[in-house]
Amino acid sequence: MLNKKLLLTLLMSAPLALGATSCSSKSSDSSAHTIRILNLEDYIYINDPESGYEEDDLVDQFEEYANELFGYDDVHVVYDTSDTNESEYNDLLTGRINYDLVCTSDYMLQKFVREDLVVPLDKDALENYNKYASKTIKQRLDEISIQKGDETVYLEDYAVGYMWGTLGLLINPEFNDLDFGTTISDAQSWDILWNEDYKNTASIKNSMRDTYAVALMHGYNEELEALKLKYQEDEDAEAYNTELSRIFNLTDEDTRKMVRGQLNELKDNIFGMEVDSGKQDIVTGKIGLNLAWSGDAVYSMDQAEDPELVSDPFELYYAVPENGSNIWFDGWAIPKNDKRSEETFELAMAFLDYLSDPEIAAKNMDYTGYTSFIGGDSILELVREWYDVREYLVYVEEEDWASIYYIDPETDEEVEVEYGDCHFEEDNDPLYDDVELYYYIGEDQHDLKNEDGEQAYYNDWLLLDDYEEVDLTYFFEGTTEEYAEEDMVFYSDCYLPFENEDGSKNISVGRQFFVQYPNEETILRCAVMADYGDENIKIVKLWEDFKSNPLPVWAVVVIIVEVALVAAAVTYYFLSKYLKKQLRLRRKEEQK
Amino acid sequence: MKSSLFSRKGHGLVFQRKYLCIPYIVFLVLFIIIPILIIVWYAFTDASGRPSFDALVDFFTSFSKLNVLLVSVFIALQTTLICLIIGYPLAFFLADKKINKNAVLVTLFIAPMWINFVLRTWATRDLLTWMGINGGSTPYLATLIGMVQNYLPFVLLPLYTTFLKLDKSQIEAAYDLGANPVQVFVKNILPQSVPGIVSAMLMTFTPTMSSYVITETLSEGKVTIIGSYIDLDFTSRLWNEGSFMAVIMLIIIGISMFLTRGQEKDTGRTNLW
Repeated sequence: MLNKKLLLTLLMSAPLALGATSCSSKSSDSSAHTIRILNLEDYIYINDPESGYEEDDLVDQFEEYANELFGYDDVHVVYDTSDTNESEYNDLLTGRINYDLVCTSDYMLQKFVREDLVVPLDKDALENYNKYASKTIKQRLDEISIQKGDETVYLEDYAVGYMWGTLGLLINPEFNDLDFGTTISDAQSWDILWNEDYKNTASIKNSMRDTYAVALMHGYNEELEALKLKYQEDEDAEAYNTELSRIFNLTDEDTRKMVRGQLNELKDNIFGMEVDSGKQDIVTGKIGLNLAWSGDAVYSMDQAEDPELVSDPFELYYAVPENGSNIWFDGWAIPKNDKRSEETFELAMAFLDYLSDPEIAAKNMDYTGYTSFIGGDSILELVREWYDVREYLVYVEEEDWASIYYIDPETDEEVEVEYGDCHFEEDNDPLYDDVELYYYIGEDQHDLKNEDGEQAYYNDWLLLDDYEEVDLTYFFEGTTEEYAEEDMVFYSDCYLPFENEDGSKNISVGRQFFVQYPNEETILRCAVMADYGDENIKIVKLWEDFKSNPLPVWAVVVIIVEVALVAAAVTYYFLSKYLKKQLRLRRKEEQK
Repeated sequence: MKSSLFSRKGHGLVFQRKYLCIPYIVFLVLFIIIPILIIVWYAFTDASGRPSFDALVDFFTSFSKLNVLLVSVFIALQTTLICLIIGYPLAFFLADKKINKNAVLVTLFIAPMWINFVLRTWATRDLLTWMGINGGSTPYLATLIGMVQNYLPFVLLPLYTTFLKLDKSQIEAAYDLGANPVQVFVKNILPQSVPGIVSAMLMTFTPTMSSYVITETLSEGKVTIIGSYIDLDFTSRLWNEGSFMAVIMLIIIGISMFLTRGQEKDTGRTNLW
């Protein structure tokens, strides 16, 4: 009986065990041309015809590619996924399966290097990566230094960047009775989470690192503000970011105490802490504010404005608070394995380089919604297609993808309006002044109307003056072949759609385009998260303390009442038993 | 020896009925006994594998951990109590053949058990939102509703089987001897159903303490029970601290079984568990 009970109890408490084992292996054959990959969930292109992803899984495509490249015929990829960085760490350490490649976040990569779990890469084999990875972003990853034993090493020798993004606030400015303008301007500071006007509106991450970082930045807001002002004066970007990163990664006792206090205040003001439900909750209207990673923010925004999913579509905005935030990277590394053959190592390197091919990277980016490390022509074209007004300005609203035409006054021929036909007011050619735009629905020709419902003319309609210029040279510089620097400037109708009260353009609240490709200033205001190292256990304790809520008074009263009732019942039971016994004894005596 | 598996009695192997237990015993050793020993081992060693009481000291000197234990006990007690208050009368009526002619009703009441509890909890979250109860402002209420919903079937079944076996003649005798309905209940039905109550309490109390998916989902992370802490320690690679808390859970299970062992043996009852 006891054992059965125990068994059942253990089964009931199965969630306990779940955390430790969350990894599935497809197969375990071990030929020399097999590589084992451990990736985070939903983080690579997978065949999914229902959502329009018709091609084979990317790992299968790689098998073909590698067979051709090396002249093998038996390249095989074993692909596993893991739900968190921490469980990947456990997987690597327990060494159940010897992985050849692992994808994880920046701080975990640092931990891997520090604890000697990964080997240096063969950087010469990374032709695509060296060529196409965005120089600015790559540099931020490369220069992360790690104290490994006595020597200082740099992450560039150990890791290849995969995706990157920022940490920010996802906002629904029309939530309940929030004021649109006030919410947008409040969201430019982390203080919004502590602000009582937003009580029970926000949910934060039930994850130690992100929440710690946010509380720290709120606590050190004055220092960060001063730092920002100093930067605006001396414009020493490097010094600014170095100092920002130093403050961002503080874990000393005073900081911990301060963060603890901040967290306590935060706890009373927020709606709750979520593991993965926040990105959905803000769409369903459960919350109005969410601490979000950029990839999730894009997902939520797309969902919220999709009329097929939401009955009353609305717009969400994403803010990277002005005084600083976090820039994160996910990258690949090769775990240590003395038995790995040279051929397998080469295959692993080939896989990394394959992922860095701009065309492949574009597929991954399209599928996962995260921003790739890779620049290059394909990615630039993808970004254009998604966000540049020149790509979709020329389409008619009623008939989504109908093309627009005009009669060219020079040649008298019917010409289709294409990407890039847009121009600035100063470039206006008087010849085109009266050229009318029209479109076809089937055979029927229609006049194209402008916003006021009047006939649209070539020169008025396609002006770029009204649109925001988004300069992403910092990202694409030196990665493209076909496109020059002037092509790295995009035009958008809602990159940073708001103005501050003083009329200046705000630099931190935007829409999808901004979320995926923040401007250079924003990147500069973001710090990379360092591994806590030996302080980790102290932060875990701090997090434990934060998560432990004292019982509310009513609960204590309930417990006391219950205990009192049980005590009374037990006393009554034994007392009556005792009294009866006495009675019986007395009767017996009387009978005698 | 008779007990030897391959005992020969002239004509080859003799199959004995007890050999049917072998799969179970193998399973028991591999997946219950050994893991428990591993947990105990980790609980009393330190990170480098040396024997140590660090985890024990850490647990009993940490206000947060003791507090979380208290919260867990509170949630578990309330869940058990509410489940009993709802389940006891319900089981009594379900066991009445006049009301529940072919046990279809019981099936309806335990049907939720067939749906995975994580999925059910997420569904409950949406249901509660729709009803205007949200975990953000009333974390304890939301948690308790979820817990009760999840564990009610576990209370219902043992009580139901107990009531099915209720000795009706005793009740009739009590009435004949002049007892009023209250006395019949207190002096007859209640004592007869004690094994069912005990079994129901055991089925609810201890699992509730570790069902942290329910608390975290429904209270929006505002109620933390010991299961969350164990999970946190394991994901932060503090296996020793986590294991020690698991041992605490085992001890609580042990205590509750020890306290109720007399009651369990009382009747030669056979129920579904």
